[in-house]
Amino acid sequence: MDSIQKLWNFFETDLGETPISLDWSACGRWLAVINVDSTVMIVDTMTDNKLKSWKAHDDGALALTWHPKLSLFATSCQGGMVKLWEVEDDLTINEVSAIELTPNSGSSWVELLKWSPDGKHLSIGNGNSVTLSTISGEISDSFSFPNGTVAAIDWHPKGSLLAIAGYGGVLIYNVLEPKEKPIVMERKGSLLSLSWSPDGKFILAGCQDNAVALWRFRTRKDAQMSGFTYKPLQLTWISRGKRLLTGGTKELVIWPFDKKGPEGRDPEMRSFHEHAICAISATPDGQSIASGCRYGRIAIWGATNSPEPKGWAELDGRVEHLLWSSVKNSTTLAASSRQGSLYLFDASTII
Amino acid sequence: MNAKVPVTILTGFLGSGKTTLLNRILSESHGLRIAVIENEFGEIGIDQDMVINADEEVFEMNNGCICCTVRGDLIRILNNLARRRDKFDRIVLETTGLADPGPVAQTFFVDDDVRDEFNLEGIVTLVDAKHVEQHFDDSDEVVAQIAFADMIVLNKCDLVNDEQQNELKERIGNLNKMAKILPAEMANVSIPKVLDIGGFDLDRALGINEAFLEPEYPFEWAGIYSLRKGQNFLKLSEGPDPDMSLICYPIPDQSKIEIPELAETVFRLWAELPTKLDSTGEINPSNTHWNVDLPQETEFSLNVPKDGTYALFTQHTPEEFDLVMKDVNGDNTSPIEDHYFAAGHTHDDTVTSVALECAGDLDSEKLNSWFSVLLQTEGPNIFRMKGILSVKDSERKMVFQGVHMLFDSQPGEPWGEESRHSRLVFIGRELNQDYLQETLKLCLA
Repeated sequence: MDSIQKLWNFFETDLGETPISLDWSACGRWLAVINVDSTVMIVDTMTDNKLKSWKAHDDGALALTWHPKLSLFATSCQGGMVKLWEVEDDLTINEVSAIELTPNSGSSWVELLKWSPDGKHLSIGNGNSVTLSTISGEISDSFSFPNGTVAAIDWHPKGSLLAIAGYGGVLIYNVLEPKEKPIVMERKGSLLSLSWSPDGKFILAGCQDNAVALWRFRTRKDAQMSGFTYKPLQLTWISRGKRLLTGGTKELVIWPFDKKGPEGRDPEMRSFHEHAICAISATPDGQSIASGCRYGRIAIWGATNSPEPKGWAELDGRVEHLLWSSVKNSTTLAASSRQGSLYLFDASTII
Repeated sequence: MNAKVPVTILTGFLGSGKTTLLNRILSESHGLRIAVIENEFGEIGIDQDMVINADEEVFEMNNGCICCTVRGDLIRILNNLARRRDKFDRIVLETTGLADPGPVAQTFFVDDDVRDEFNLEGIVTLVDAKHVEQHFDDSDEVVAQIAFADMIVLNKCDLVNDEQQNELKERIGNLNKMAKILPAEMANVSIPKVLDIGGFDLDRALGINEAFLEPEYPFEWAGIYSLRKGQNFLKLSEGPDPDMSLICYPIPDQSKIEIPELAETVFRLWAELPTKLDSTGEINPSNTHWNVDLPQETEFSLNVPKDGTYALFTQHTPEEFDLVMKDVNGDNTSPIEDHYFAAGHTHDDTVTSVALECAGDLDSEKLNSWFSVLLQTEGPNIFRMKGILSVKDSERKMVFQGVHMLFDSQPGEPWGEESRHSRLVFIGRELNQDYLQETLKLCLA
């Protein structure tokens, strides 16, 4: 490991609590982190990492996500509340709207927030349904998931199809025709994460039973990727959707999705971590990868020709989040630990 | 990595006093920082009020385990609590009164993140001493809740007399000999005592009842009588069953009388089909397995061929049929020694506890195969299992526990000077102790 460069973190702070979610603004200037106690912290990378923090909810926080284009983000909590926040250049924070949800059934926890690719809708996973809100906080539609609590949501890259996963499979609704029956893709067991390939051809789900379920959207043909030692919740696309990164093992596994797909083909395995990978991020241009394990070690890899990492670092506890800045040629990596530390790493010397 | 957070599951049938105990846990100053996961009510706080509501979302695992259901809502809640573990020292998890504790317990074995962060410390079952009897036969949940328990709080004891309480303890003990029984009124048990179950206490399970380690015989009682040649009499009253099996076995001269050894002999005779005997019949002390009709009080002739000692083995206890032995003079005579056996057929409860012991080291490969076959074939019938195993080439005890087909083990204390032997307890339906004991012995290194 001596030959691998150690990453330099130019920013580190103790959040005081475990972060539950973090996200970069579309412009890459602001990093927002929300802790379990609903404290939001904004780091402004344009102003020498100036900080702003406030309490966003009275209940425990569950999610945070930036709008794909605007300086606006949403937060959610266990008490059935979603709030939209706008950030001004001088770090003034305005609460734009508050959406109170009452689930038809299931828990009041609002665990999932996901903007549509065009940014017109915020999909909100709450109990046994997904609610759509506009950017001004008006509820437009709701889609049910009768099998149980919604565990994951993802939008088709072109934006009108909304996939909802949970126990028993995936339902795909057309948000332009909300009365239409959903497309059903069944699978025994519980699905926990969901990712639509960038070309829209594949739908993948990380499963409770340590497998990744896969469907071809056009033919509905299904398959499974297995061999994981932990739940493979991390599903990250690189190479414009031609390759998929998964966690849930000590090795960074890269599955081929070019040509006819992954069936019958060996994935690429990269070894470095001594414990299972629980966080993965790829730069927006797909050229660099960051992986983090359950015992706090992170590694930086090239997307190609990188059998061993180019850099590494050690956090003070289990890696909770890894996320490259959203600017195209990003070299800034945000990382957080379960112990409540937030780091910003500069990888410009190694990628 | 930090130590795992201990979790206590609190279960009990409707009206058993579970909410009373939970309210005490929430309100009393016991010095413990407890996060409570409730089913029926509760809201979420950030700092102080660590009370979280769950929504009983049970789902089946797709892992080839036919009985494996877990609680999806608990996985989400526990993984969230794992991020706030500096706020509490332990978790109490309440199940609803009608819940099967299985999916709740299995959640701690199935989900990796939950298993890494939390340790299922114990299952506490509250039992309503006044009303539980009426639920034994019509509620599988009551039996399951008792069978799953590490500790049973026998609540509302002020509403039953001592005799009823003792009968209830005996019946509960037949279902689950691993659990400690704490009598209580208004759930007034020491909260630290209830929560700090302290892992394995096999000695209690193995030592609480001397009959526990005996095989489960089809007879409940044996008495040794000194009888003189001639016509003696065995008087039996009408009991809970219309008939009863028995054997009157002549003990060979000079034999040292050891009832457990005699039991093995009689057990083999018992395997023969019984000879029916009506109220006019005569019993001859022999190897014959009799089944006597008891429509009413009946006095059977017992034709003793010569003076000597005779062992009478009966399917049920003498108290159930008011058994009286009369000698050749017609006087009542008492046994010179008697013994009560742990009987699997008591009250027709099919749920029993089975304890196994095996001296020496076990071969790890054979042991793995044994568990694999056992859990595949009997897993759905096994509610709980716990044990300490002596595995060859391991300096430490291997401590295991499991639920249905799920199994988890970890190294325990070093053996040191202690004699190495394995001890296992299974609680389940229709478990065959002889088969388990014999096949376990095949795992010896």
